[in-house]
Amino acid sequence: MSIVRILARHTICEALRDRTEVGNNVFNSLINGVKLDGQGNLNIGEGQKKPFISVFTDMSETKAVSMNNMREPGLTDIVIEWGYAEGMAAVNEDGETFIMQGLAVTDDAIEFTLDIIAHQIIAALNADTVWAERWKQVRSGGIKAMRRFRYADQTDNTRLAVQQLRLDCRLMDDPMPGEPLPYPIEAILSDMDLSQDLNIQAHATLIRNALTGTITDWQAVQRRFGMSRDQLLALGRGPLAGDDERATPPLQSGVLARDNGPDETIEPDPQD
Amino acid sequence: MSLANHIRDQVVAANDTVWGETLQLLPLTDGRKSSERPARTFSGVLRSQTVETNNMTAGGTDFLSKVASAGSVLRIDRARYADLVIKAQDKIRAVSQPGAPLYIVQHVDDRRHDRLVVHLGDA
Repeated sequence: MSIVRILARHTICEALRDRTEVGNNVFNSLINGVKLDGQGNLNIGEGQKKPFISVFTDMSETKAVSMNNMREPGLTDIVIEWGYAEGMAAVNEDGETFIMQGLAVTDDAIEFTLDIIAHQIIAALNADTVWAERWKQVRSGGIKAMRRFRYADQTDNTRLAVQQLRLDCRLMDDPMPGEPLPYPIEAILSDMDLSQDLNIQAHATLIRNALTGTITDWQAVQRRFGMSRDQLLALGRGPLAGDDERATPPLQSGVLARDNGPDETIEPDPQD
Repeated sequence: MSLANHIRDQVVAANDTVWGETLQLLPLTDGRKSSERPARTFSGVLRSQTVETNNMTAGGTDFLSKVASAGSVLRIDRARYADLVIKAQDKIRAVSQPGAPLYIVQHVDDRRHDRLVVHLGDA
């Protein structure tokens, strides 16, 4: 369930980039505190003096008859936060700060701007764009709940306001290692390969490493259902009992000996 | 003026002459340049606080974004600047410090007889 969380964050970030009032100030899992230095420059991104958006994947919960395989992402909390702290807008020599075109910063101008950004976020995620489409595929199980919160204060030695959107999303299942990548994962990884951000290129490589490899049929069954060796063997799959090397070769041919009839030669089922 | 007030003003003036720095007041009304209070420079004692990183909801955990800010406290000799009017949301620039950092006035404590105490946020 971890790979699709990565893809959820990435597709949302790309779907929002340059489509809201924050421009390129869209961040994936911003952990560091946003800080304004003595020259008035922000410590995030390229220091654009604009509000910011940060995208997180938070807790998830899955309830099913069996969760043995631990692969289903269940309902995952996608958290999108956007906010303004003093300094996240251009200031002129008179000390006037403009948060949007023609809009001087006041308390209600901050709230206004954050509501406009909220509108732009929803519009961008619903837009008919490549990245919005990929996000919709990653959350193909549907959005089951949506909660919005806001907070504003000046007790942190600056004036700030922040809003949050929490989406309970049923994300697609994580791909099985060794199996063909389901749509749209290959397309997302191919774009990540071409990113200007070297870390995103590294993400693509590391995800491919995690998902590629050779896997036998019985290993695929074992992983898909989270089976123990005994459970697998009880279904007639996997190595023979006692084969600690897990090297039992596939059945080539065998003889079924009957007490009350002629012996029968067994050939493996080509579909098996 | 009583003797006590005279001594007080002398002490404050002597201290602030040593420790004060040049500051620029940028008065704003509803976020725009004030038409009634012109920008002016003055001297005051500015003491920055330690930068702290806090959750944007002031220590709550419902929000995940954080902000790092310090803020400052500015003390102004009331006897010297009896006509100085500073209001919340005005900006103050510490012009003699590296980078000339900008602050926003969060609130003004004018219930003191010796100094005007101005609480500033990073801006």
